[in-house]
Amino acid sequence: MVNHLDAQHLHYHIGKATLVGDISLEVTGGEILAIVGPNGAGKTTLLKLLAGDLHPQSGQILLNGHPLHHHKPLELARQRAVMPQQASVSLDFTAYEVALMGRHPHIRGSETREDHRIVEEALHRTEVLHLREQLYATLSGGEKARVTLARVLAQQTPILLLDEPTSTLDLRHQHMTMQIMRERAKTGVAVVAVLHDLNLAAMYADRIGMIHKGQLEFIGTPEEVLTAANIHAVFGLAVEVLAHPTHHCPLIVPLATNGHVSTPPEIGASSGRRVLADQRVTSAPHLG
Amino acid sequence: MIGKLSVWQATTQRYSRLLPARIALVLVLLVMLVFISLSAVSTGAVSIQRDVVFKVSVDAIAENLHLDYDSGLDYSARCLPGQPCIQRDAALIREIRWPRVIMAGLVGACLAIAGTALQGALRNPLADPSLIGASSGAAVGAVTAILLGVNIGDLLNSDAPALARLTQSLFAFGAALITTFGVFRLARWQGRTDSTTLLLIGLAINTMASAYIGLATFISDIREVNDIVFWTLGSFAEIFWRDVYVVLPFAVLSVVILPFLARQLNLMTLGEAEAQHLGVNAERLRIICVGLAAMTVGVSVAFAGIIGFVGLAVPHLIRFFTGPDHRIVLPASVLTGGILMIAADLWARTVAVPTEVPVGIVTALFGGPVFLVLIILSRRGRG
Repeated sequence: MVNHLDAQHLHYHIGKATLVGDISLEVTGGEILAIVGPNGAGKTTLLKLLAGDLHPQSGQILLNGHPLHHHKPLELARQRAVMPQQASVSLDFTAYEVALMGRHPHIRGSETREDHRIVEEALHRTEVLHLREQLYATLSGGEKARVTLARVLAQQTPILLLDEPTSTLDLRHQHMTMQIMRERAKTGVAVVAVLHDLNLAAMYADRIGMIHKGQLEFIGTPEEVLTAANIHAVFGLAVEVLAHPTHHCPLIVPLATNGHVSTPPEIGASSGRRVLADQRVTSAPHLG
Repeated sequence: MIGKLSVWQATTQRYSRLLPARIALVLVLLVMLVFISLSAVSTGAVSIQRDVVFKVSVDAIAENLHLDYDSGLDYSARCLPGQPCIQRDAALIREIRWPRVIMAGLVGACLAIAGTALQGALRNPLADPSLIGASSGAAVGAVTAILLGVNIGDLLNSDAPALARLTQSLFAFGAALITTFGVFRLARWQGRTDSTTLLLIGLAINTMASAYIGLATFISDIREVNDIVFWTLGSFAEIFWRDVYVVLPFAVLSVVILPFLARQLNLMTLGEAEAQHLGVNAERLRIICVGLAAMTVGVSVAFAGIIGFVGLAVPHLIRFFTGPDHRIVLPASVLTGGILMIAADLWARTVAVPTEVPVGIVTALFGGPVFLVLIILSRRGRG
């Protein structure tokens, strides 16, 4: 299993708005890289660039040493799976059929028993096996996300790109999702996940990249990146960073009192309030 | 662990039962198609016994394939007034009824498969051959030919009415392709095609086409209006073998190619980006589907006029019974489209003998209520 994704000096803009400005990062098999940052920072755009949905105006992405766009769609689909922020299905497929679609890159002709076994296992792992005969469109947001996760897992790729995989999930399933990612990383898979919950990133990621206004501000281990000063600089929120009582990782505690958040770091930027709202409510789809 | 294993076996068993069920459905539809075709050939102003139809048809096939077969029908029997006449019936069956029935079947199949492919590729259950401009474009082409009085016959120094009709067909086919291409091109923005925009642009083009046809009807004389009505409401009158031979290759092309794209069409329901993540070249898939739809619809309209509703409703009807998997929806749509169109044409030409009701009116008359019931039922099914 070769799995190495190397982004070099990515730049992407629409009109005058720079969504991603000169970001370089690498991810190799066996590690989880979490991408964090405020709304509109460019996290999703970065993930779309890594997935090959968007083409950078300058810079390049190497997948195992070869430019991403040199790979044929089917070939690419065997290398990397992408979990979108929200997934709708336009016709009445069942949850099982949707998860089975993840096998497409591997199927020649029609599905084998092995394909069915892999899909069953993925649905079982994401705890939605009991919903398999239900229409996908009738599932709740969190259930849809878990079925989509099962579809992504069934694709069995050495690289996983996840865009806010936990945003619609309850606490238990957020951790279930991240534990699955840890299991996959242990088998040599490279994982890139856009996360909003800094504590989730702190607990499970090997490295964290913090993005602000299209720039990669900080990248490193959770201890290196998740400092009170960094978080205040990027999110505009005063926090205290404690040691997690049982895990060996930082624990971020916001210091907002009386419904008041600290002043934003820059004049005119009012991102602080939005971040707090973001931690409570699932974020709306955004371009950044 | 044992529980999990049995669940897995249950699912694989369910999916392994799916294939025989689907094959059975296709076989049932095939039998229905043959049955309705024979009925349609035997019914008409002169009704012919079904066994005569069968024997004449088998004889004709044997003759064309140079097979050594004889049904034993006596074609040289003298015809008496008031008695069945084999000689006359055989000519009627071979030269009038079969081409018409086969054309109805082909056009029904073309419209249905085009609708299925478009609804899948554009991720929109409202997509319909008429909505991407193919049908209305074809009608505009034909109407223009009528208004200008263009006729290939003039070039060939021939005044055969068939040549005037052929000219109109050519105009219709050309205009269908140009319109669809135009709609597609207008909807394309920065290398991507947005399905909603595509349908909205199709809608705008349709409105303009309707206005043009309305205007044309307004300024035309009675004879021209009759021609225009033929194009806008559809008819299988005056269809001969030569017309069938033109439509056949387009229908075959779609019916052969599209089933290979069935699984990719399934993936498109996830969304364009998601389908791409799973290895589908979404833009290419869309171009193939829209291109095939434009060709099949264009050639259908060119010979039979605009026949609404089949392309929209048949895929919904099939999905109601089989679920959304294109691997069964595509072949079932082809057969069902053919069956329904032959039935509609049969009704259209026999209900008001000696005149014919335009077949487009029949499909809308019966298709509308059925579609309505279908929508209400499927809403209930989803709870």
